[in-house]
Amino acid sequence: MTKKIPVLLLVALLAASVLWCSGLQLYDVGDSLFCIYLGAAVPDFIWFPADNSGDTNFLAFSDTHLRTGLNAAISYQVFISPSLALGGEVAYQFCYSRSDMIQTAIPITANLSWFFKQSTRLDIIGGIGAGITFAKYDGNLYLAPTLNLTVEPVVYFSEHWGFGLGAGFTAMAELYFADKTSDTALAAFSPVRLSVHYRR
Amino acid sequence: MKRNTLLTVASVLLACLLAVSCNLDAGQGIFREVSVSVQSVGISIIGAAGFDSATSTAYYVSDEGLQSKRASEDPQMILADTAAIQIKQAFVYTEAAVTKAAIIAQSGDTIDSPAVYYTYEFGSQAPVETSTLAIDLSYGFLTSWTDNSKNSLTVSYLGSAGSVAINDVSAVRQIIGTLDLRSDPGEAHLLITYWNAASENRMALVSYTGGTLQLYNLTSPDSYNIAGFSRSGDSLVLVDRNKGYVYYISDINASTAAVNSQTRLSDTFPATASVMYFYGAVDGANVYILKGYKAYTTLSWDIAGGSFSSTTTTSGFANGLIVTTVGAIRIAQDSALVYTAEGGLFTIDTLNGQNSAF
Repeated sequence: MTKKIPVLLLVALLAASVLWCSGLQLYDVGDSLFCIYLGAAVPDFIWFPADNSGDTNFLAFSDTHLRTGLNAAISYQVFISPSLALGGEVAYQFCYSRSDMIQTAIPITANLSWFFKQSTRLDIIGGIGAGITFAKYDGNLYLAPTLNLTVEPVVYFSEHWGFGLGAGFTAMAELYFADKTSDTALAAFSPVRLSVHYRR
Repeated sequence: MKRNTLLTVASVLLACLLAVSCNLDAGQGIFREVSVSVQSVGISIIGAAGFDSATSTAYYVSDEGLQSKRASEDPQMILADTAAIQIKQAFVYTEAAVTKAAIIAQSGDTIDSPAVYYTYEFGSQAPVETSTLAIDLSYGFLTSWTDNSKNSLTVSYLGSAGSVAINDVSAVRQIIGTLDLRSDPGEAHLLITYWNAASENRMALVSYTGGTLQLYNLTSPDSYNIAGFSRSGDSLVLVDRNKGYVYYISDINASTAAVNSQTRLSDTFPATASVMYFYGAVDGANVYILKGYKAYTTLSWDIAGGSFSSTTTTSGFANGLIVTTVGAIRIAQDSALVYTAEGGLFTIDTLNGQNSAF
Protein backbone atom coordinates (compact mmCIF):
# COMPACT_ATOMS: atom_id res chain seq x y z
CA MET A 1 0.00 0.00 0.00
CA THR A 2 2.79 2.42 0.89
CA LYS A 3 4.26 1.97 -2.59
CA LYS A 4 0.98 3.06 -4.17
CA ILE A 5 0.78 6.42 -2.38
CA PRO A 6 3.57 8.22 -4.29
CA VAL A 7 2.28 6.78 -7.56
CA LEU A 8 -1.26 8.01 -6.87
CA LEU A 9 0.06 11.43 -5.85
CA LEU A 10 2.04 11.66 -9.02
CA VAL A 11 -0.91 10.66 -11.19
CA ALA A 12 -3.12 13.22 -9.46
CA LEU A 13 -0.49 15.91 -9.89
CA LEU A 14 -0.11 15.07 -13.55
CA ALA A 15 -3.84 15.14 -14.19
CA ALA A 16 -4.20 18.51 -12.46
CA SER A 17 -1.20 19.83 -14.32
CA VAL A 18 -2.58 18.86 -17.71
CA LEU A 19 -5.83 20.66 -16.98
CA TRP A 20 -4.00 23.69 -15.64
CA CYS A 21 -1.44 24.15 -18.32
CA SER A 22 -1.72 26.39 -21.29
CA GLY A 23 -0.31 25.71 -24.69
CA LEU A 24 2.56 28.16 -24.33
CA GLN A 25 5.98 27.49 -25.78
CA LEU A 26 8.49 29.23 -23.58
CA TYR A 27 11.75 27.78 -24.71
CA ASP A 28 13.99 28.65 -27.59
CA VAL A 29 16.64 26.53 -29.22
CA GLY A 30 19.81 26.91 -27.18
CA ASP A 31 18.08 27.43 -23.84
CA SER A 32 19.36 25.12 -21.17
CA LEU A 33 18.20 23.32 -18.08
CA PHE A 34 20.23 22.13 -15.11
CA CYS A 35 18.70 19.76 -12.56
CA ILE A 36 19.63 18.09 -9.32
CA TYR A 37 17.66 15.03 -8.21
CA LEU A 38 17.36 13.23 -4.91
CA GLY A 39 14.97 10.46 -4.00
CA ALA A 40 14.26 6.80 -3.52
CA ALA A 41 15.16 3.92 -5.80
CA VAL A 42 12.44 1.28 -5.67
CA PRO A 43 13.53 -2.14 -6.97
CA ASP A 44 10.85 -3.29 -9.42
CA PHE A 45 12.01 -6.63 -10.67
CA ILE A 46 14.90 -8.81 -11.74
CA TRP A 47 14.15 -11.04 -14.70
CA PHE A 48 16.31 -13.89 -15.93
CA PRO A 49 14.85 -14.44 -19.41
CA ALA A 50 17.18 -17.30 -20.34
CA ASP A 51 16.75 -19.24 -17.14
CA ASN A 52 14.67 -22.26 -18.03
CA SER A 53 15.52 -24.19 -14.93
CA GLY A 54 12.00 -24.14 -13.62
CA ASP A 55 13.27 -22.08 -10.74
CA THR A 56 11.85 -18.66 -10.16
CA ASN A 57 13.12 -16.42 -12.96
CA PHE A 58 11.00 -13.33 -12.37
CA LEU A 59 11.44 -11.69 -9.02
CA ALA A 60 9.44 -8.59 -8.15
CA PHE A 61 9.82 -5.99 -5.40
CA SER A 62 10.98 -7.60 -2.15
CA ASP A 63 11.62 -10.90 -3.92
CA THR A 64 14.48 -9.17 -5.75
CA HIS A 65 16.25 -9.39 -2.38
CA LEU A 66 16.90 -5.65 -2.61
CA ARG A 67 15.54 -3.00 -0.30
CA THR A 68 14.44 0.44 -1.44
CA GLY A 69 17.54 2.57 -1.73
CA LEU A 70 18.66 6.05 -2.64
CA ASN A 71 19.02 7.74 -5.99
CA ALA A 72 20.75 11.04 -6.68
CA ALA A 73 21.55 12.60 -10.03
CA ILE A 74 22.51 15.70 -11.93
CA SER A 75 21.54 16.48 -15.48
CA TYR A 76 22.13 19.15 -18.05
CA GLN A 77 20.09 19.59 -21.19
CA VAL A 78 19.98 22.01 -24.09
CA PHE A 79 16.85 22.74 -26.09
CA ILE A 80 17.12 21.59 -29.66
CA SER A 81 13.58 22.70 -30.44
CA PRO A 82 10.94 24.66 -28.47
CA SER A 83 9.71 21.44 -26.85
CA LEU A 84 12.67 19.04 -27.01
CA ALA A 85 15.85 19.12 -24.97
CA LEU A 86 18.86 16.88 -25.36
CA GLY A 87 21.54 16.29 -22.77
CA GLY A 88 22.94 13.90 -20.28
CA GLU A 89 22.47 12.62 -16.78
CA VAL A 90 24.83 11.09 -14.27
CA ALA A 91 23.20 9.32 -11.36
CA TYR A 92 24.29 7.38 -8.34
CA GLN A 93 22.03 4.78 -6.86
CA PHE A 94 22.40 2.22 -4.14
CA CYS A 95 20.22 -0.44 -2.56
CA TYR A 96 21.05 -2.97 0.12
CA SER A 97 20.53 -6.66 -0.47
CA ARG A 98 19.24 -9.16 2.05
CA SER A 99 22.77 -9.98 3.05
CA ASP A 100 23.26 -6.28 3.88
CA MET A 101 25.68 -5.82 1.02
CA ILE A 102 25.39 -2.69 -1.05
CA GLN A 103 24.49 -2.83 -4.73
CA THR A 104 25.54 0.36 -6.42
CA ALA A 105 24.77 1.69 -9.87
CA ILE A 106 26.11 4.70 -11.70
CA PRO A 107 23.95 5.21 -14.79
CA ILE A 108 25.37 7.62 -17.35
CA THR A 109 22.77 8.32 -19.98
CA ALA A 110 22.05 10.56 -22.92
CA ASN A 111 18.57 11.96 -22.39
CA LEU A 112 15.94 13.39 -24.64
CA SER A 113 13.18 15.33 -22.89
CA TRP A 114 9.87 16.38 -24.30
CA PHE A 115 8.25 19.41 -22.65
CA PHE A 116 4.78 18.50 -23.76
CA LYS A 117 3.08 21.02 -21.47
CA GLN A 118 4.73 24.34 -20.78
CA SER A 119 3.71 27.39 -18.79
CA THR A 120 5.42 30.09 -16.79
CA ARG A 121 4.69 28.18 -13.60
CA LEU A 122 4.58 24.55 -14.55
CA ASP A 123 6.20 22.23 -17.03
CA ILE A 124 5.41 18.60 -17.56
CA ILE A 125 8.37 16.73 -18.90
CA GLY A 126 8.58 13.27 -20.34
CA GLY A 127 11.99 11.82 -20.95
CA ILE A 128 13.80 8.89 -22.44
CA GLY A 129 17.44 8.09 -21.92
CA ALA A 130 19.95 5.49 -23.03
CA GLY A 131 23.43 4.78 -21.87
CA ILE A 132 25.49 2.63 -19.63
CA THR A 133 25.39 1.75 -15.95
CA PHE A 134 28.39 0.88 -13.85
CA ALA A 135 26.73 -1.74 -11.67
CA LYS A 136 28.66 -3.14 -8.74
CA TYR A 137 27.96 -5.80 -6.16
CA ASP A 138 30.17 -7.88 -3.94
CA GLY A 139 33.34 -6.66 -5.61
CA ASN A 140 32.12 -7.46 -9.12
CA LEU A 141 31.59 -4.75 -11.71
CA TYR A 142 29.39 -4.93 -14.76
CA LEU A 143 28.80 -2.27 -17.40
CA ALA A 144 25.15 -2.66 -18.20
CA PRO A 145 23.34 -1.14 -21.17
CA THR A 146 20.62 1.01 -19.69
CA LEU A 147 17.33 2.54 -20.76
CA ASN A 148 15.27 4.93 -18.68
CA LEU A 149 11.89 6.57 -18.95
CA THR A 150 10.78 9.49 -16.78
CA VAL A 151 7.85 11.77 -16.28
CA GLU A 152 8.07 14.85 -14.13
CA PRO A 153 5.95 17.89 -13.39
CA VAL A 154 8.03 20.90 -12.39
CA VAL A 155 6.61 23.92 -10.59
CA TYR A 156 8.54 27.17 -11.06
CA PHE A 157 8.47 29.69 -8.27
CA SER A 158 10.58 32.23 -10.16
CA GLU A 159 11.61 32.79 -13.70
CA HIS A 160 14.55 30.40 -13.40
CA TRP A 161 14.05 28.14 -10.39
CA GLY A 162 11.62 25.33 -9.90
CA PHE A 163 10.91 22.17 -7.96
CA GLY A 164 9.83 18.89 -9.44
CA LEU A 165 8.59 15.50 -8.38
CA GLY A 166 9.33 12.81 -10.86
CA ALA A 167 9.03 9.10 -11.27
CA GLY A 168 10.76 6.87 -13.70
CA PHE A 169 11.64 3.43 -14.83
CA THR A 170 15.23 2.39 -15.31
CA ALA A 171 16.13 -0.96 -16.84
CA MET A 172 19.66 -2.39 -16.81
CA ALA A 173 20.64 -5.39 -18.85
CA GLU A 174 23.32 -7.86 -17.82
CA LEU A 175 24.15 -9.99 -20.83
CA TYR A 176 25.94 -13.32 -20.82
CA PHE A 177 26.50 -15.96 -23.42
CA ALA A 178 27.48 -19.62 -23.69
CA ASP A 179 27.48 -21.42 -20.35
CA LYS A 180 26.43 -18.33 -18.45
CA THR A 181 23.39 -17.53 -20.56
CA SER A 182 21.05 -18.40 -17.73
CA ASP A 183 22.54 -15.56 -15.68
CA THR A 184 21.49 -12.97 -18.26
CA ALA A 185 19.34 -10.53 -16.35
CA LEU A 186 17.18 -7.48 -16.77
CA ALA A 187 16.92 -5.43 -13.61
CA ALA A 188 14.46 -2.59 -13.26
CA PHE A 189 14.18 0.17 -10.73
CA SER A 190 11.76 3.05 -10.27
CA PRO A 191 13.43 6.20 -9.06
CA VAL A 192 10.95 8.53 -7.32
CA ARG A 193 12.79 11.81 -6.92
CA LEU A 194 12.45 15.41 -5.87
CA SER A 195 14.33 17.81 -8.06
CA VAL A 196 15.56 21.36 -8.28
CA HIS A 197 15.54 22.90 -11.76
CA TYR A 198 17.35 25.90 -13.08
CA ARG A 199 16.45 27.08 -16.55
CA ARG A 200 17.85 29.90 -18.61
CA MET B 1 24.55 22.76 -34.06
CA LYS B 2 22.37 19.75 -34.81
CA ARG B 3 25.26 17.98 -36.46
CA ASN B 4 27.51 18.56 -33.46
CA THR B 5 24.83 17.28 -31.10
CA LEU B 6 24.28 14.15 -33.12
CA LEU B 7 28.02 13.54 -33.28
CA THR B 8 28.25 13.93 -29.51
CA VAL B 9 25.41 11.49 -28.90
CA ALA B 10 26.85 9.02 -31.39
CA SER B 11 30.25 9.24 -29.70
CA VAL B 12 28.75 8.61 -26.28
CA LEU B 13 26.81 5.60 -27.54
CA LEU B 14 29.90 4.23 -29.25
CA ALA B 15 31.89 4.62 -26.05
CA CYS B 16 29.15 2.75 -24.20
CA LEU B 17 29.22 -0.10 -26.69
CA LEU B 18 32.98 -0.32 -26.40
CA ALA B 19 32.70 -0.40 -22.63
CA VAL B 20 30.16 -3.23 -22.80
CA SER B 21 32.25 -5.19 -25.26
CA CYS B 22 35.14 -5.33 -22.83
CA ASN B 23 32.90 -5.93 -19.87
CA LEU B 24 34.44 -6.79 -16.59
CA ASP B 25 32.71 -10.07 -16.08
CA ALA B 26 31.13 -10.70 -12.73
CA GLY B 27 31.85 -14.16 -11.41
CA GLN B 28 28.27 -15.30 -11.30
CA GLY B 29 26.26 -12.37 -12.56
CA ILE B 30 25.67 -9.35 -10.40
CA PHE B 31 21.90 -9.53 -10.38
CA ARG B 32 21.98 -13.30 -9.93
CA GLU B 33 24.06 -12.79 -6.82
CA VAL B 34 21.71 -10.10 -5.63
CA SER B 35 18.64 -12.22 -6.25
CA VAL B 36 19.94 -15.05 -4.15
CA SER B 37 21.45 -13.06 -1.33
CA VAL B 38 20.34 -14.21 2.05
CA GLN B 39 20.32 -12.61 5.38
CA SER B 40 23.24 -14.03 7.24
CA VAL B 41 22.24 -15.71 10.45
CA GLY B 42 25.72 -15.18 11.81
CA ILE B 43 26.62 -18.86 11.88
CA SER B 44 28.89 -20.69 9.49
CA ILE B 45 27.84 -24.33 9.64
CA ILE B 46 30.34 -26.97 8.58
CA GLY B 47 28.21 -30.05 9.03
CA ALA B 48 25.22 -31.66 10.69
CA ALA B 49 25.84 -33.41 13.99
CA GLY B 50 22.51 -35.01 14.68
CA PHE B 51 18.98 -34.21 15.75
CA ASP B 52 17.33 -35.14 19.02
CA SER B 53 13.66 -35.60 18.26
CA ALA B 54 12.74 -35.86 21.95
CA THR B 55 13.85 -32.29 22.65
CA SER B 56 13.66 -31.05 19.05
CA THR B 57 17.28 -30.02 19.23
CA ALA B 58 19.54 -29.83 16.22
CA TYR B 59 23.27 -30.29 16.61
CA TYR B 60 25.85 -29.04 14.16
CA VAL B 61 29.50 -28.17 13.79
CA SER B 62 30.14 -24.51 13.07
CA ASP B 63 33.38 -22.68 12.48
CA GLU B 64 33.35 -21.93 16.20
CA GLY B 65 32.77 -25.41 17.55
CA LEU B 66 29.98 -27.85 18.35
CA GLN B 67 26.68 -26.05 18.79
CA SER B 68 23.03 -26.85 19.35
CA LYS B 69 19.84 -25.09 18.44
CA ARG B 70 16.25 -25.64 19.41
CA ALA B 71 13.48 -24.36 17.19
CA SER B 72 13.04 -20.58 17.38
CA GLU B 73 15.75 -20.27 20.00
CA ASP B 74 19.26 -18.91 19.83
CA PRO B 75 22.14 -21.30 19.22
CA GLN B 76 24.05 -22.63 22.21
CA MET B 77 27.73 -23.45 22.28
CA ILE B 78 28.41 -26.95 23.56
CA LEU B 79 32.12 -27.23 22.93
CA ALA B 80 34.08 -24.33 21.50
CA ASP B 81 37.06 -24.80 19.22
CA THR B 82 40.46 -24.26 20.74
CA ALA B 83 43.84 -23.86 19.12
CA ALA B 84 44.56 -27.54 19.75
CA ILE B 85 41.11 -28.91 18.92
CA GLN B 86 39.40 -27.60 15.79
CA ILE B 87 36.24 -29.66 15.38
CA LYS B 88 35.67 -30.89 11.82
CA GLN B 89 32.96 -33.50 12.31
CA ALA B 90 30.82 -34.49 15.25
CA PHE B 91 27.80 -36.54 16.14
CA VAL B 92 25.73 -36.35 19.29
CA TYR B 93 24.30 -39.59 20.66
CA THR B 94 23.07 -41.13 23.86
CA GLU B 95 24.79 -44.02 25.57
CA ALA B 96 23.70 -45.43 28.94
CA ALA B 97 21.46 -42.39 29.44
CA VAL B 98 24.43 -40.06 29.00
CA THR B 99 24.53 -37.61 26.13
CA LYS B 100 27.86 -37.73 24.37
CA ALA B 101 29.50 -36.30 21.30
CA ALA B 102 31.91 -38.11 19.04
CA ILE B 103 34.34 -35.66 17.51
CA ILE B 104 36.91 -35.68 14.75
CA ALA B 105 39.19 -32.70 15.17
CA GLN B 106 42.45 -31.33 13.94
CA SER B 107 45.01 -29.20 15.59
CA GLY B 108 44.96 -25.63 14.42
CA ASP B 109 48.74 -25.58 14.23
CA THR B 110 48.98 -26.82 10.67
CA ILE B 111 46.47 -27.27 7.88
CA ASP B 112 47.43 -30.89 7.34
CA SER B 113 47.54 -31.91 10.95
CA PRO B 114 46.27 -35.48 11.45
CA ALA B 115 42.66 -36.05 12.42
CA VAL B 116 42.18 -37.08 16.03
CA TYR B 117 39.13 -38.81 17.43
CA TYR B 118 37.69 -37.52 20.70
CA THR B 119 34.71 -38.40 22.84
CA TYR B 120 32.98 -35.78 24.92
CA GLU B 121 30.40 -36.12 27.67
CA PHE B 122 28.03 -33.19 27.86
CA GLY B 123 28.83 -31.04 30.86
CA SER B 124 32.37 -32.29 31.27
CA GLN B 125 35.39 -30.04 31.07
CA ALA B 126 37.12 -31.29 27.98
CA PRO B 127 36.93 -33.99 25.31
CA VAL B 128 38.96 -37.15 25.74
CA GLU B 129 41.43 -38.13 23.03
CA THR B 130 41.35 -41.73 21.79
CA SER B 131 43.66 -43.82 19.64
CA THR B 132 40.98 -44.62 17.06
CA LEU B 133 42.20 -43.94 13.49
CA ALA B 134 38.94 -42.21 12.59
CA ILE B 135 38.40 -40.85 9.11
CA ASP B 136 34.69 -40.03 9.08
CA LEU B 137 31.68 -39.38 11.29
CA SER B 138 28.57 -39.31 9.16
CA TYR B 139 25.13 -39.45 10.72
CA GLY B 140 26.20 -41.63 13.61
CA PHE B 141 28.59 -43.93 11.80
CA LEU B 142 32.20 -43.93 12.88
CA THR B 143 34.46 -45.07 10.05
CA SER B 144 38.07 -45.70 10.94
CA TRP B 145 41.09 -47.61 9.72
CA THR B 146 41.25 -50.92 11.47
CA ASP B 147 44.98 -50.58 12.14
CA ASN B 148 48.05 -48.73 11.00
CA SER B 149 48.41 -50.87 7.88
CA LYS B 150 45.34 -49.02 6.55
CA ASN B 151 44.02 -51.71 4.28
CA SER B 152 40.71 -52.35 5.98
CA LEU B 153 37.98 -50.21 7.48
CA THR B 154 35.96 -50.68 10.63
CA VAL B 155 32.51 -49.16 10.77
CA SER B 156 30.49 -48.87 13.96
CA TYR B 157 27.31 -47.07 14.93
CA LEU B 158 27.65 -44.72 17.87
CA GLY B 159 25.80 -45.77 20.97
CA SER B 160 25.48 -49.38 19.89
CA ALA B 161 27.68 -52.44 20.19
CA GLY B 162 29.33 -54.23 17.31
CA SER B 163 31.06 -53.23 14.12
CA VAL B 164 31.62 -54.44 10.59
CA ALA B 165 34.86 -54.68 8.64
CA ILE B 166 35.44 -53.74 5.02
CA ASN B 167 38.56 -55.45 3.78
CA ASP B 168 40.83 -54.98 0.80
CA VAL B 169 40.67 -51.20 0.82
CA SER B 170 43.49 -49.24 -0.72
CA ALA B 171 41.87 -45.84 -0.80
CA VAL B 172 38.52 -44.43 0.23
CA ARG B 173 36.73 -42.36 -2.33
CA GLN B 174 33.42 -41.26 -0.83
CA ILE B 175 31.65 -41.79 2.46
CA ILE B 176 28.03 -40.70 2.46
CA GLY B 177 25.54 -41.11 5.23
CA THR B 178 21.82 -40.80 5.49
CA LEU B 179 19.63 -40.91 8.52
CA ASP B 180 15.94 -41.20 9.10
CA LEU B 181 15.64 -40.46 12.79
CA ARG B 182 18.18 -40.35 15.50
CA SER B 183 15.89 -41.75 18.12
CA ASP B 184 15.38 -45.49 18.34
CA PRO B 185 14.24 -47.43 16.49
CA GLY B 186 15.75 -45.14 13.89
CA GLU B 187 17.42 -46.33 10.76
CA ALA B 188 20.70 -45.07 9.41
CA HIS B 189 22.70 -46.05 6.38
CA LEU B 190 26.23 -45.42 5.21
CA LEU B 191 27.57 -45.81 1.69
CA ILE B 192 31.30 -46.14 1.12
CA THR B 193 32.93 -46.15 -2.30
CA TYR B 194 36.56 -47.15 -2.50
CA TRP B 195 39.31 -48.73 -4.55
CA ASN B 196 40.64 -52.14 -3.68
CA ALA B 197 44.27 -53.20 -3.96
CA ALA B 198 43.74 -53.96 -7.66
CA SER B 199 42.42 -50.41 -8.19
CA GLU B 200 38.92 -51.69 -8.89
CA ASN B 201 35.86 -49.69 -7.95
CA ARG B 202 34.04 -51.08 -4.95
CA MET B 203 31.00 -50.01 -3.01
CA ALA B 204 29.72 -51.08 0.41
CA LEU B 205 26.52 -50.29 2.24
CA VAL B 206 26.41 -50.38 6.02
CA SER B 207 22.93 -50.29 7.52
CA TYR B 208 21.92 -49.83 11.12
CA THR B 209 18.40 -51.11 11.53
CA GLY B 210 16.66 -52.45 14.59
CA GLY B 211 19.82 -52.17 16.66
CA THR B 212 21.84 -54.32 14.27
CA LEU B 213 24.68 -53.37 11.98
CA GLN B 214 24.74 -55.05 8.59
CA LEU B 215 27.28 -54.89 5.75
CA TYR B 216 26.34 -55.26 2.07
CA ASN B 217 29.01 -55.45 -0.60
CA LEU B 218 27.47 -54.01 -3.73
CA THR B 219 28.22 -53.90 -7.40
CA SER B 220 29.44 -50.41 -8.10
CA PRO B 221 27.88 -48.27 -10.82
CA ASP B 222 30.11 -46.47 -13.27
CA SER B 223 29.36 -43.12 -11.76
CA TYR B 224 31.66 -42.00 -9.05
CA ASN B 225 30.38 -38.74 -7.75
CA ILE B 226 27.42 -39.84 -5.76
CA ALA B 227 25.29 -37.06 -4.32
CA GLY B 228 23.33 -39.39 -2.14
CA PHE B 229 21.45 -42.60 -1.84
CA SER B 230 18.34 -43.99 -0.31
CA ARG B 231 17.47 -47.46 0.87
CA SER B 232 13.95 -48.78 0.80
CA GLY B 233 13.57 -52.36 1.93
CA ASP B 234 16.09 -54.34 -0.06
CA SER B 235 16.41 -51.79 -2.84
CA LEU B 236 18.77 -48.88 -3.16
CA VAL B 237 18.63 -45.69 -5.20
CA LEU B 238 21.76 -43.71 -6.04
CA VAL B 239 21.96 -40.23 -7.51
CA ASP B 240 24.97 -39.01 -9.43
CA ARG B 241 26.06 -35.49 -8.64
CA ASN B 242 27.59 -34.51 -11.96
CA LYS B 243 25.05 -35.38 -14.60
CA GLY B 244 22.13 -36.35 -12.46
CA TYR B 245 22.01 -40.03 -13.40
CA VAL B 246 19.83 -42.12 -11.20
CA TYR B 247 20.76 -45.72 -10.44
CA TYR B 248 18.63 -48.41 -8.94
CA ILE B 249 19.75 -51.59 -7.23
CA SER B 250 16.75 -53.85 -6.80
CA ASP B 251 18.21 -56.31 -4.29
CA ILE B 252 21.13 -55.42 -2.08
CA ASN B 253 21.24 -58.92 -0.61
CA ALA B 254 22.00 -60.40 -4.03
CA SER B 255 24.16 -57.40 -4.95
CA THR B 256 22.32 -57.01 -8.22
CA ALA B 257 23.87 -54.66 -10.69
CA ALA B 258 23.15 -50.98 -10.41
CA VAL B 259 20.73 -50.18 -13.19
CA ASN B 260 20.86 -46.77 -14.73
CA SER B 261 17.37 -45.38 -14.77
CA GLN B 262 18.13 -44.05 -18.25
CA THR B 263 16.74 -40.78 -17.02
CA ARG B 264 19.14 -38.02 -16.28
CA LEU B 265 17.86 -35.37 -13.98
CA SER B 266 19.85 -32.94 -16.09
CA ASP B 267 17.69 -33.90 -19.09
CA THR B 268 14.44 -33.62 -17.27
CA PHE B 269 15.38 -30.50 -15.38
CA PRO B 270 17.96 -28.64 -17.48
CA ALA B 271 19.53 -26.70 -14.65
CA THR B 272 19.72 -29.75 -12.46
CA ALA B 273 23.02 -30.84 -13.90
CA SER B 274 24.44 -30.63 -10.46
CA VAL B 275 22.37 -32.21 -7.76
CA MET B 276 23.45 -30.13 -4.84
CA TYR B 277 22.09 -32.32 -2.16
CA PHE B 278 20.23 -35.58 -2.13
CA TYR B 279 17.86 -36.11 0.71
CA GLY B 280 17.62 -39.81 0.92
CA ALA B 281 14.04 -40.40 1.83
CA VAL B 282 11.94 -43.07 0.27
CA ASP B 283 8.29 -42.54 0.99
CA GLY B 284 6.46 -45.52 -0.37
CA ALA B 285 7.39 -45.48 -4.03
CA ASN B 286 8.87 -41.99 -4.21
CA VAL B 287 12.38 -40.70 -3.77
CA TYR B 288 12.84 -37.09 -2.79
CA ILE B 289 15.78 -35.03 -3.88
CA LEU B 290 16.45 -31.56 -2.59
CA LYS B 291 18.24 -29.38 -5.04
CA GLY B 292 19.55 -26.26 -3.45
CA TYR B 293 20.82 -24.08 -6.24
CA LYS B 294 19.13 -20.81 -7.17
CA ALA B 295 16.07 -22.11 -5.41
CA TYR B 296 15.22 -25.22 -3.50
CA THR B 297 13.59 -27.76 -5.70
CA THR B 298 12.20 -31.01 -4.43
CA LEU B 299 12.29 -33.67 -7.10
CA SER B 300 10.12 -36.68 -6.66
CA TRP B 301 10.84 -39.88 -8.53
CA ASP B 302 8.12 -42.41 -9.03
CA ILE B 303 10.33 -45.49 -9.14
CA ALA B 304 7.74 -47.80 -10.66
CA GLY B 305 6.58 -45.34 -13.28
CA GLY B 306 10.01 -43.91 -13.90
CA SER B 307 8.65 -40.39 -13.98
CA PHE B 308 9.93 -37.32 -12.22
CA SER B 309 8.01 -34.39 -10.88
CA SER B 310 9.25 -31.34 -9.06
CA THR B 311 8.16 -28.73 -6.60
CA THR B 312 10.09 -25.49 -6.58
CA THR B 313 10.11 -23.47 -3.44
CA THR B 314 9.09 -19.94 -4.31
CA SER B 315 8.27 -18.62 -0.91
CA GLY B 316 9.38 -18.90 2.64
CA PHE B 317 12.81 -18.97 4.18
CA ALA B 318 14.44 -21.16 1.57
CA ASN B 319 13.36 -19.12 -1.43
CA GLY B 320 16.42 -18.15 -3.38
CA LEU B 321 18.88 -19.79 -1.05
CA ILE B 322 22.07 -20.37 -2.96
CA VAL B 323 24.06 -21.28 0.08
CA THR B 324 25.69 -24.65 0.31
CA THR B 325 23.65 -27.34 1.96
CA VAL B 326 25.86 -29.24 4.35
CA GLY B 327 23.37 -31.75 5.63
CA ALA B 328 19.76 -32.79 5.95
CA ILE B 329 17.98 -35.02 8.40
CA ARG B 330 14.50 -36.39 8.15
CA ILE B 331 12.81 -35.24 11.34
CA ALA B 332 9.25 -36.36 10.68
CA GLN B 333 7.11 -37.86 7.98
CA ASP B 334 7.68 -35.75 4.84
CA SER B 335 9.71 -33.22 6.79
CA ALA B 336 13.44 -32.62 6.65
CA LEU B 337 15.72 -30.37 8.61
CA VAL B 338 18.20 -28.75 6.23
CA TYR B 339 21.54 -27.43 7.42
CA THR B 340 22.98 -24.66 5.24
CA ALA B 341 26.46 -23.21 5.40
CA GLU B 342 25.51 -19.57 5.91
CA GLY B 343 21.71 -19.46 5.92
CA GLY B 344 21.13 -21.32 9.15
CA LEU B 345 18.69 -24.18 9.54
CA PHE B 346 15.27 -24.59 8.07
CA THR B 347 12.63 -27.24 7.85
CA ILE B 348 11.14 -28.17 4.52
CA ASP B 349 8.09 -30.21 3.63
CA THR B 350 9.38 -32.62 1.02
CA LEU B 351 5.94 -32.92 -0.56
CA ASN B 352 5.00 -29.30 -1.14
CA GLY B 353 8.19 -27.33 -0.54
CA GLN B 354 6.77 -25.26 2.28
CA ASN B 355 9.55 -24.22 4.59
CA SER B 356 10.41 -22.05 7.51
CA ALA B 357 13.42 -21.10 9.57
CA PHE B 358 14.18 -23.55 12.35
